[in-house]
Amino acid sequence: MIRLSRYEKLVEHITDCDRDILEFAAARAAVFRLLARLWGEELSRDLAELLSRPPLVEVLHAIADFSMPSRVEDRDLQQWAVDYCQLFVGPRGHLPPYQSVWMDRRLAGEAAASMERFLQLLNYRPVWSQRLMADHLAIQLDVMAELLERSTRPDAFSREERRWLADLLINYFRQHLCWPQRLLDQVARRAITPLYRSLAKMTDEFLRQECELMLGSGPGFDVHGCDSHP
Amino acid sequence: MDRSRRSFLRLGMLLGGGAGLELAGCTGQLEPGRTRQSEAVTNGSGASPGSAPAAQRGIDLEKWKSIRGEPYQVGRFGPLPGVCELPGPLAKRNWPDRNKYKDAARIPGMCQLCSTVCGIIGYVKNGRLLKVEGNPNDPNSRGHLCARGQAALNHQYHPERLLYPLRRVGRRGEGQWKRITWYEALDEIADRLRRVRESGHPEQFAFHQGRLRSADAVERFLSAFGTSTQLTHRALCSGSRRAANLTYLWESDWDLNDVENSKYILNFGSNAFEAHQGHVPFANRIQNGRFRNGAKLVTFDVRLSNTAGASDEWFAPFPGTDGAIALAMAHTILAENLHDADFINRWTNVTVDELRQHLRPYTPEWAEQVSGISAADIRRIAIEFAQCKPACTTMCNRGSSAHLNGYYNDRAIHLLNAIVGSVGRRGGWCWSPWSGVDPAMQPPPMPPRPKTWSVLEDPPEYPLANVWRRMRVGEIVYLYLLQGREKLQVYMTYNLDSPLTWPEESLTQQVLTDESLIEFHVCINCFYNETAHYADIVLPWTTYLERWDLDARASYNLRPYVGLRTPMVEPLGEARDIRDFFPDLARRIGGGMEKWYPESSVREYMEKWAANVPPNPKTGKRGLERLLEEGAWENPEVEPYYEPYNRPVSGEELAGAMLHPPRAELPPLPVAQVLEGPDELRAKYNHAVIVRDGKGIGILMDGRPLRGFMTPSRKFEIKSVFVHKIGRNEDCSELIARSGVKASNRPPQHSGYNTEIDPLPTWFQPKEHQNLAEDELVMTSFKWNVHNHGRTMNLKWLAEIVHSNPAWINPRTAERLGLNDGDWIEITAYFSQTLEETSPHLVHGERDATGRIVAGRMRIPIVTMEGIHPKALAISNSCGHWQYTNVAQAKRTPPEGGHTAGYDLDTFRDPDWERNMWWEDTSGGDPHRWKPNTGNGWNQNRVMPIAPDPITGQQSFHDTVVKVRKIG
Repeated sequence: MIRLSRYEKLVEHITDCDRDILEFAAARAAVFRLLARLWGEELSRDLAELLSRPPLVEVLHAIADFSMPSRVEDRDLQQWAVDYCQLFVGPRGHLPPYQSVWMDRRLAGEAAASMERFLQLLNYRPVWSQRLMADHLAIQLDVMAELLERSTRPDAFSREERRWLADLLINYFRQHLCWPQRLLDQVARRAITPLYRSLAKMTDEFLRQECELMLGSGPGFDVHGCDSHP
Repeated sequence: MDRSRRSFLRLGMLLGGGAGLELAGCTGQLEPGRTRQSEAVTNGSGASPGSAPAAQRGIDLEKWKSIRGEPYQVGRFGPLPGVCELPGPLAKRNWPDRNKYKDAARIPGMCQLCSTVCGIIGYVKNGRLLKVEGNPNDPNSRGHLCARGQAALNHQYHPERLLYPLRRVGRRGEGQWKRITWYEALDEIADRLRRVRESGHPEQFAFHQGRLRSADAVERFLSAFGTSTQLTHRALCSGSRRAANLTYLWESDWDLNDVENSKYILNFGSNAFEAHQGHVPFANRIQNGRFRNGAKLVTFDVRLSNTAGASDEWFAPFPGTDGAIALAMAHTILAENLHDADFINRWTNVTVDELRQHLRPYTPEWAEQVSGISAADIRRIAIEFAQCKPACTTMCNRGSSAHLNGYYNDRAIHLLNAIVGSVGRRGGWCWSPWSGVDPAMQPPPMPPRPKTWSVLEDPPEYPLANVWRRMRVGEIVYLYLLQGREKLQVYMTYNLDSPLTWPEESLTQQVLTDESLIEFHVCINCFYNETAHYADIVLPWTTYLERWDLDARASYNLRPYVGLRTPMVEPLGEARDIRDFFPDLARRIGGGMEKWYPESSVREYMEKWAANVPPNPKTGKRGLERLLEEGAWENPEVEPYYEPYNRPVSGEELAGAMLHPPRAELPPLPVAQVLEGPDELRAKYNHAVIVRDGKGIGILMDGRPLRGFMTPSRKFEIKSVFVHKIGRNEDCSELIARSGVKASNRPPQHSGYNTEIDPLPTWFQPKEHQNLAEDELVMTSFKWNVHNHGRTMNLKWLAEIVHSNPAWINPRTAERLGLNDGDWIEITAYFSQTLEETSPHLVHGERDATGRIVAGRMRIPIVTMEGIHPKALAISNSCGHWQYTNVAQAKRTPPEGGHTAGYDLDTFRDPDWERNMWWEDTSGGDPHRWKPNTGNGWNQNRVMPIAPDPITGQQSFHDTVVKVRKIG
């Protein structure tokens, strides 16, 4: 009926209440959440201070040379905000982190409509301080986190439902998290601050791993990879 | 598991294991009580705040199964469940797709990509706009929609739209920004505006608009605030034509030529098929007149526009000589006794003999000398025109009026209609009092208009700019600021691109950059542009597809109507309309402003405004509900505005009215006394003005009390005592009262600024045009059929058609100057010598060796073509953006350096974009490497001097003398 990737096995294991698997999914969801937060808005003082504290700061540095000042100053926040703006907000010549822009070169295209469908399936509306369209990368990362969390509820789904659940997760990932590679390449090249270069690098690395896990198509992930899947 | 995976898992564990951070969404600083876009009529694609309770969370797998199994269409990146494609290159491949609009809602609205405001229908599905087409219910545009309107999707979904408020970081004009919340933006703006109010100089808050179709919202805000410094672009557009109309009519500033019913259409410089205000309904009716009614169309235009090219005959006169030709035609018609003596003697305020006397020197031979059009052709066309009376009309616009003598050009052109008696006649030269929304629609009560005065809004040097209507003189604003004649504490720009579209680009930029001249600049726009670049705060504006208006323009049906601009889709990002955030701003400023915003939503305001739309007998719907379904409503009970001067004054209106005879020796008498008196008495009082309560209401014409014209004499005023007196700052109170029209004397601030205005239509030629050197040409300007002045070059479907603008030069001229097609020239533009004498306050800049003031120099390639007068050089506007979107700049690759640089080739992979951006210019400005029809063109305003008509203030876009030199 439907073709599943090897991710099916992972989902089936969840029903066995395998603690490692659950923790694995929860940890992945947490990373998706962090990335969503970093992509979705300018770095707040609270988050910056959290990320600059050990042991997080060491882990982040190990992943993507993520370096944070030991003490977050106003000028740091200002510098990051300006960089975030010129990269993702504009006013002109920026890199809008919307899937529709990168697929169709317009805002609110098919990708946004598709994301709306997924949000309806989850009856979920992420809360952001700024109004983001549904195909913003931050929303897409956040929805992935939500999907992972919900799919790890062992008693919520029957065996047949789990197959559909795996299908949904895979399709969601393929359709909405395989596209950003070109965006990430551009961000890495055009970021003024190390923070956003690192964010691009970290997102790229994490999505590559997820792509391999979900689709078995590693190491690359991009829109061409999307097209090659059913 | 590799090392990197382990690191990520560790990160996840740390984050999920009590790191002290709630990462599932952000706690934003939403403005308290604000419901975003609650007025929108459709469900859109925005992810708005508010998540479902955790208990309800789950995954609707049944729904997934259903949509998973039936993908609508395979798009470029695989099946998207239940999602249909937007139009575009891929949609074309799937054409015809009969299901595309199957379940789409048809939502009426109004276009705003130019001033014509055609009715449109938007097809909306899943909250997304799929297509726009004309609305057949619109009585003016009748379902027609031009290329600009079809490009609505480019406008709506442009990837570089402004989506969030921005605050400047660093120096003004440096181009560094950070995003701020609406909460922060409105707080800062309100604080600034409150300080302006407290300073005692409310006039130092100026609102400067480009195309405005929400006039009620702006008037409400400015009046509630207490400033009348509302600056417009009217003087860049139609000031002289409007002043000429007002001189004759007072009632209307806009002639509506009844071309659909004409037999002869005499066009002086109007490009109605491409760019006239209201051009779509006008062009449609011109063609109906020609092909259904057999009308002949004759065009006089320096350039072979599409209108000229589609005419039965085209003549290319020397620039600015339209008025001379028209006067010679008037001379001919009288000489041939083809005039309408009855109309002239009864309905104008001069006699045939007086006219003959006045027109005696304006012979066709004289006109031939100045215009280059043969006397024989002038005579022939004049006779043909008059032989079709009264179903004949002139038409004109910027081609004749955007000159230093534009006011006189248009007065001379309009005169032809009076001479043949086609004024107000079916098929003739008509007008209506309804220049906008049907007056039956009354918005909620407005604040009283403030009495402030600013030299920027009412410059005393231009006597006719503001006496009837507030036309202003936009092009002097930045110069006067630079001269220290005024300063601005807060400057709010709206849909404006002044550095590109106004003369003297560098002066505009200089003033916009200077924080001592403009202390605080708020820019409201859909896109970042050359104006936003010099702002302190940029507010993202909704598109015309996302907001409300009642709108209409003067209809060629000569009846009032009303159309509805509807939010077809939800605003993208955080874009907001002034109707939405002005109330918030007013409440923050306080001090009584807030009381003018009692409505709880924009929709409630619109419901009140549209309440008088009557029920549709078929559907029963009325008011806003009816407009939401039909898009427009025209009052069928109002007769078309033909011959309004012949309409009787009712007995009720005549009660207590007096007759004021034209001869001073006769005393005023009650109307009833004269009407019931002997024939001799009625004869004495023939043509007397009927006055009631001090205001003119009609005229006694051959014993009948008729409405007449709304002028002081109640006649079509060929001879205007008013303009002559008002130019000299003389008291015109009595004349104004006789007209019954809202007009005003000039204010005390105008004292000492006197200008001689001829009471009769006449003509003069600017000094600098009289003896052009061999290498000098007159630079003119024009607009394309796919662009407006400053806002459409970012729309790819349009930019692909027209994106560049080499200068047009006649082949004979090119040969004389040693130029070939594609050569580059340097043009040196000069400030007007006539203005040096009449308007010394404008004089600035350096003089060259010839002693003339240089307005600027620029390099530009040429195209040679017969379709331009040999002594003219034409450069279109709309081109040459340097801060608008990358489409507008024709750039795929990023400019070198700069953190806000554009894209590189890898950024977007839309094949349509990559395949069709063939016009990108990679020459780097090197004339030797430049390829024809590439690049984004040149901004003519780099060298265009500030040059207002000394009477009306209309910018003379077609008069600048330029010296031409070959380069390379």
